[in-house]
Amino acid sequence: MDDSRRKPDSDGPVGSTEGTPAAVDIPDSRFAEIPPDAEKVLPPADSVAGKASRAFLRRVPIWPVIEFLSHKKVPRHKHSFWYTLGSMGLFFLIVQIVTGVLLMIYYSPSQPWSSVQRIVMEIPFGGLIRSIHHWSANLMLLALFVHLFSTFFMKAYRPPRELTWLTGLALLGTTMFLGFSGYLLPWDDLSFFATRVGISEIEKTPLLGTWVAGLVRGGPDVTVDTIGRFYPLHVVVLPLLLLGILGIHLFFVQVQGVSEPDSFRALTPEKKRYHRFFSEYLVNEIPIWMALTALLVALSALFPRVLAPEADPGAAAPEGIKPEWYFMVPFQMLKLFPGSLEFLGMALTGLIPLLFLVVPFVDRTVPADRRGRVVARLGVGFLAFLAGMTAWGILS
Amino acid sequence: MNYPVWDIPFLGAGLVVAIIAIIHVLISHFAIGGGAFLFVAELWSNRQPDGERIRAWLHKYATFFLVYTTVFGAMTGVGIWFSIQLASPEGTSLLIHQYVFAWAIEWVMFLGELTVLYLYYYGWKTNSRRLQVWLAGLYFVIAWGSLFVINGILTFMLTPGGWTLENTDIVAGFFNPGYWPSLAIRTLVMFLVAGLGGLLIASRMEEEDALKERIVLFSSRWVLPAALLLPGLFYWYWTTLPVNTARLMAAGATGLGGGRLEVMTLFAVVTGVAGMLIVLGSLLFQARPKALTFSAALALFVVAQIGFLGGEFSREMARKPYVIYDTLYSNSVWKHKAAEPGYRDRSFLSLTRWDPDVVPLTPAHGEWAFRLQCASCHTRDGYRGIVPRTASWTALSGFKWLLTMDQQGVMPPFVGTAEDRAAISAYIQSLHGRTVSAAEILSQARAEEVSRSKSASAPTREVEP
Amino acid sequence: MGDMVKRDAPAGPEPNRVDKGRRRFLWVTGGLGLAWLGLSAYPVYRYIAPRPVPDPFGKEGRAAVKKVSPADVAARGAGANGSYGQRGCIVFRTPQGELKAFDSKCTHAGCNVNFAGDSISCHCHGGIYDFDGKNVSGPPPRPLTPLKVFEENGVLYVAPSDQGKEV
Repeated sequence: MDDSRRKPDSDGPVGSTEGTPAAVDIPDSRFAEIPPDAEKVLPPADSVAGKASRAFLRRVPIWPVIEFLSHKKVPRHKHSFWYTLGSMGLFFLIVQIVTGVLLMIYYSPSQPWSSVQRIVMEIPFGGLIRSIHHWSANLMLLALFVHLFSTFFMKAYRPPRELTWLTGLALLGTTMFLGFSGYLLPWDDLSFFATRVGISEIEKTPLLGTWVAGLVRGGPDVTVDTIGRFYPLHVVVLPLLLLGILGIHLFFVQVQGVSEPDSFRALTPEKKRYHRFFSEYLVNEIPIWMALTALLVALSALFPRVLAPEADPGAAAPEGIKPEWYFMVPFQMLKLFPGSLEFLGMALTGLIPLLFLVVPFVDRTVPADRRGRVVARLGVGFLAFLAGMTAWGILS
Repeated sequence: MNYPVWDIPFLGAGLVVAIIAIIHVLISHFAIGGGAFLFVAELWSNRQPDGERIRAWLHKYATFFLVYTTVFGAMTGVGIWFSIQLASPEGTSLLIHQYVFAWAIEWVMFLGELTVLYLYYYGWKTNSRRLQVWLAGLYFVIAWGSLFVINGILTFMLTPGGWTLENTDIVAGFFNPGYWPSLAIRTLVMFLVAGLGGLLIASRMEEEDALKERIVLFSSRWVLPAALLLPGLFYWYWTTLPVNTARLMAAGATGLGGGRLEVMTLFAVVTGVAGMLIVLGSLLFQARPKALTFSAALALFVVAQIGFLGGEFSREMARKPYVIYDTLYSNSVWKHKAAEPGYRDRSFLSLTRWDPDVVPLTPAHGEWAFRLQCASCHTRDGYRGIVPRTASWTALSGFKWLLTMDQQGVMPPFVGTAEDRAAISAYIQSLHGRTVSAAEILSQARAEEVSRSKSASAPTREVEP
Repeated sequence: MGDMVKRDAPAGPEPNRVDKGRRRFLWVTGGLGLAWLGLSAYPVYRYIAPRPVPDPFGKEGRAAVKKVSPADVAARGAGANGSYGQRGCIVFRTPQGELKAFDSKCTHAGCNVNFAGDSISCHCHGGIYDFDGKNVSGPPPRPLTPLKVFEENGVLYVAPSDQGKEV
């Protein structure tokens, strides 16, 4: 190889002018060489896969990233199962995106109810896809709530993982808004009145309530203009926001590694067992995704999502109208404080997300000290409270 | 037509049978496939240098097998017996009368397999290698014999083949068109489930144990025969289905069903999806056998349960409106009797075995007529509830609709007089909170008929075709 | 990726070795898995697949013409474009007074042809048809599909032509 090719950062033309190079020559030395430890694990250089992977790596020098990821490991202990909850949320999100795009093929925001009726009654397997979308939304929120509490009880929010926790809360909030905005889109009795009730609760916020509610609704009442803004929110804005925050959330997890509970940390190094994420852990996580798939399809067959009659804004609200279960806590809280006590109810309801937000700044020590144990116990009580309020709301 | 109706609120009698049976099929398929698994594993262990260690693991499999199949299998199996007798005495009676010897043979098989299984398990340490292998193989043969028998009775219900009530050709009925594909499908599925059970037990092994890899690979291979052959076998089974069923399933892709059983198609989709997931999942385990965890193996086992749910629901729904196809409707009305002229215009309650002794046209009349003729398939506001399905009914429209209820091919023809229809319609209106008397409905209907016949006799512009 | 990781010093004891036989086995069973995946994609395919266009004539063997009323074609030499079912048609009265109709899909590239008083022409590429629907000039390779046309109760109807190609 002559020097003209080896010169780094050459300003001259690419490649040599003599002879025919077997491969395109890349003058920038950052790209030209494959790192030695990559060479060890890549397929043989004369195979198709070997040539392709080397050509790629010479152009996109991501070997350090791949190498880093290959070391990613997950602790194996009694509570390892809870590590799958976050990815369950991701799985359901993927299902939502796929079924959501499929629904978009036939949904029309200017003919909301009849297009959904067409999907359910005319398009082959339309009812199945719609039911899966509905069930996956609910299961996603359930998985996220369980993920929230399992990371809470495993104290995964402690330094250096505060930002992971905070972005996680943002993701939960975004998902809840995705649920709220999507719920209106079929424009049937249930959606219409549930949305109207939901927004009127927002309206009760002092000072800004009416203005915010007006913005959200696109007017003094829920109309076609509300769909007009909920639809792009549900389909573009919130998904982009979600994916962006999710990227940050996952990036933190990659860079910081999976959190280890105190009991695991206390073990001697030889006792600490791990699974490599790429292959060993995935091989176990993917079947769990598969069980979730089967569950979704079975739920859709057993309990298909019905399409209630078309919304009639002039009609009386159906009996017992209430929001979906994941909004039951604020709904019930506001019911508990009627009339002049409304402000107190709002304040207390607003306290709930606030409490979650401050947790990583209150309980910081590893291993947990007395304050940490108090936080854990308070968490149990809080979980009982939230579950109880939700159950009460659903059953009443 | 029945003895006092087994009226279960919200779930309905049929769904109770379904719940017990769906749990049972996973266990029973495992019980037979697992026998083959034990037999083959015994042979395999004899050829391995570490056969003792393999058999030590196999003992764990056999323990799980013994407890799961004999305890829960027996409970749910007997549970099916109890519940089908209560849900459909007429149908059960027909099956017993036609196939009493088949049932008897099946019980002999049960006795045989339990005996052999206990000899195999409790003689684990004392029996010779040869005897163990023989016992395991014998267990599988006997257990498969019980499938051979029950498969005939089960498939007979959907496709009675050459059997009719007149010729009572039980051989033709036993070896009916659906028999052979069903037998093949269930046998392969049994092997699949046995493999999943092996994965479940193997997942508990220590990762560092070199044996784990080999056992996981051994277990996951049991999925292969099903993976290869089931699509073709399901197609074969599809060709033996009754014409009406196949038509409904194909139409069921769209939601236009609403009473035409599009759920049958959905449940078939559940089965297909579950099958795919099991095939893919077991492949994954072959890539990293030592890393297999209990949660992952359990997840596939749950998928198998869901697959059975889909398959059995689909198969049972395929038979509607009959419990014995072309012979006995699900509400125990005999098809041949309902086809007799005049039979269907007799007072329904007079045809029942146990007369509830109600005064005609009272609410009690309506409720009893509903329970005896409709409640076998419809609860009030639970599973397949009648209330949501009659939301748009007026008293008169319901009264008239009952005459045409068998036209869509998923319901039996109505049996009973106009009084019965009026009573049932009044009862259904009462379920919606609307009070109307049966006598009122009758007089309304008669008045309408009179006015229609009057206008028919007057000259009209339209020419009758 | 899995290969790379396994040859890299793993956290546990001896690395997994994938021998050639097992690799081939994995390929075969992987193919099986993908085949099953294809089966399960069937519902999604059916969902996305375009629906068949229903027969415009239906059970009655005829279809009402939309956008053209009998008054529009009462005069000789009058004609208009209309539709039947989901298809387009032209209906016109010849100078001799005969009421005629054709499916308006040009046999060249599918544009709807236009009734121009003395001829039938297609604006897309200049094809011309005569009043018998025969392609007389320009790119169209075949005549237009004729339709039987009649009036009933003040509405124009079209039905499949009995005579095949020529009316």
